[in-house]
Amino acid sequence: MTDAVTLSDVSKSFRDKRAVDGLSLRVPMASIYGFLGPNGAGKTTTMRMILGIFAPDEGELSVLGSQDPTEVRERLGYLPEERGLYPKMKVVDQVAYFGTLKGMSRAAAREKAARLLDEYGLGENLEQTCQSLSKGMAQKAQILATLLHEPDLIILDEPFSGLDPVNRDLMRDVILKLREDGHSVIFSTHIMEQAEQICDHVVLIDGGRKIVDGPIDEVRGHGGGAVHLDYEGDLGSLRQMEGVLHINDTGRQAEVVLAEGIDPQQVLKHLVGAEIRLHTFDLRSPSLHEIFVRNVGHSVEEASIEPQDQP
Amino acid sequence: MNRTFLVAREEFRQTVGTKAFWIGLAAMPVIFALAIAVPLLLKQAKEARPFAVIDHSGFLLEAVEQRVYSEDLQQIAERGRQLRREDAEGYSELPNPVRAFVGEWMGLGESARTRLVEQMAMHAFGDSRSSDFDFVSYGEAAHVYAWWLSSDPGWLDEHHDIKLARRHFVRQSLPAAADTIAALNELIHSGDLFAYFVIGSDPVTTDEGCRYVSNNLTDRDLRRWFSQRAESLVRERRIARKGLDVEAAEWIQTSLSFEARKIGDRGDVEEVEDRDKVRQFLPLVFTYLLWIAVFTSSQMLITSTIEEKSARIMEILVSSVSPEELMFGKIVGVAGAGLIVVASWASVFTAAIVIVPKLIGADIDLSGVAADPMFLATFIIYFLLGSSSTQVSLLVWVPCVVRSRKHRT
Repeated sequence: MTDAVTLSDVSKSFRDKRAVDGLSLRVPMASIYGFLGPNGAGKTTTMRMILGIFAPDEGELSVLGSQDPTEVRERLGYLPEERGLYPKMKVVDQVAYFGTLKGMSRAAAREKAARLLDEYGLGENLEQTCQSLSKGMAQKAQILATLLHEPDLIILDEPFSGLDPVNRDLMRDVILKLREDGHSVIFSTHIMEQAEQICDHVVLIDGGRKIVDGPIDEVRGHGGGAVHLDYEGDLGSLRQMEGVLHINDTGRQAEVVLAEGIDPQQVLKHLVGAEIRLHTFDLRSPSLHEIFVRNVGHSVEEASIEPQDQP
Repeated sequence: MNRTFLVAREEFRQTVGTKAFWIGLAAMPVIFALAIAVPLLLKQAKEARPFAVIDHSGFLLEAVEQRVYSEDLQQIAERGRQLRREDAEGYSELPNPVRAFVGEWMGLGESARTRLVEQMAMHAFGDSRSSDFDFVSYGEAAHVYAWWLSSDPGWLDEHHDIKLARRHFVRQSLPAAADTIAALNELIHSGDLFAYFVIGSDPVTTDEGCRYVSNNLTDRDLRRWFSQRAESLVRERRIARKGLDVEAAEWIQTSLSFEARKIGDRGDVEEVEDRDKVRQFLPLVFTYLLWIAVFTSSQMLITSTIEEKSARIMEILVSSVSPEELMFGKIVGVAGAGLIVVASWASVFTAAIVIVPKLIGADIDLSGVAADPMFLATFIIYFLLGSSSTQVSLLVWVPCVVRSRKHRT
């Protein structure tokens, strides 16, 4: 089976800013692939190149087997981070219009738009204008407009951004269903927990360059060992312990990241000695959050490198 | 191509589907009509401007008034003749002395008519020299003058379309005050007087001491009207003072006029009629309409593009269609909406040039012009070319399009 997307040493610059720098990756078919990285890492630019909105300056890319993404435009679905609807257009017309632009006949697009909107609880809003929808309803309509033509590859730029918990769950279910149905999904996110829950593969990008990529377990496996705690007490002394690289402490829970070769039993002994009350003590691979912070934490504080002149 | 059509259809639907579009469409002819009618109505509704004259020369004011009376007489005679021919009832409403004057005037040749009016004015203003006309000598003219003095200029204008000078400018007597100037200034300040003139002691020799005083400096009708007549009379005095032959002087002052002629379809030299002038003026009007139409449709395009940008739809669109398809689709859609605008204006304009001449009684048949297929076809072609090229130029700097194009090449 060919990959849904292949990038080989792809670069893209805007004036003197290098947004993507020699990026190579493979997105397998029927998988969920997460683009992780801080703001300005080059995620959106990479997605736009995959969509054919931008052409790369250097390198090669292949999308659904084609060197030119515009040739397979009708097989792509895209939900940008900054998404909207025509405010004065009827909801059903809006969803159907995007379907027709993707090659559906007008009648089929309208019929399917009405059916999907009904399925997702917007049946009574079909003939309303988009400006009369609540934010949650509008988000549903946007998602449906992206998926109406059943694209083989769906690209979602920060799909969870701005969603309420109900719509976040809806989006998650939609993405999982898409994979189940054999579609490939690429999405970018800042929410590591979401990526961890649903991604098959991830790529961590920083400064336009790939930091790490691969199946999610493999990526987490590169991070050494970690201990997850539910606790009561003060972890201050643990920070001084040799071999403890980092503690992601949320007050009652913590992830203690250990250096290579450190035995977690030493940590347990230290905690008991420090009279810390433990409810759970769980050995795991480091979380994506830890890997993210460890690899790109330095650049999060820095100014964004995302070029200012992008559309 | 199919996607271009889809974008065009949606653009058209969205543009013409708004209330603003149809309100704008209906408002345009109304605005045009108002733009023409309001100044005319305001001019008609303008009240007579009261003015006063301090005449240090001792002759010029009376001479001007005599000139004004003779001009009014000339107009009364011409309008009376028209009423007699076309509106017997209206003519019968004129008093007997006026009808007698009209009858007398109509029975004369061109130069005799001028002399009759002049001598009536002379007698009215106290020049009792013998007259060539019994109408004047036997006192009939005095009745006409009495009627002229007592008649209401507003009523005459409204009922008989006779526009006496007093309809617009009414001379007031000077206030009985020790300091006349101060009293006049006070009247102007209070708004009771529009303006006053001061005529110097010897305007024939010099304009020293001649003044026009008013707080309204934009309305120059009164100043122009009075000074033209005063200047003409002063010029006559100057000619007389120098002992020049009056006829020779008049001849010298006669302007050189080139009468307009045109070459007809058969190559003959023909007289120029009003309809010919209007026909040649129409392309100018259409060019103006074209200019408005092009910029109106371009404005529609920019509005819709900005709306797509602000509603964050542009990025979804450019992921579905190429920038070229998007640009041409939008241009075609907006041009379609623009054609509706143009068609509506053309219909209104055609109706106007067919109906208006009939309403105002002008003998100008422009229906041929309105129905000329070449004329309208040319207009539409120029509109499409003009709007398309303008819109392409506008869209080229719409960032999403130009950058997408740049980065794809």
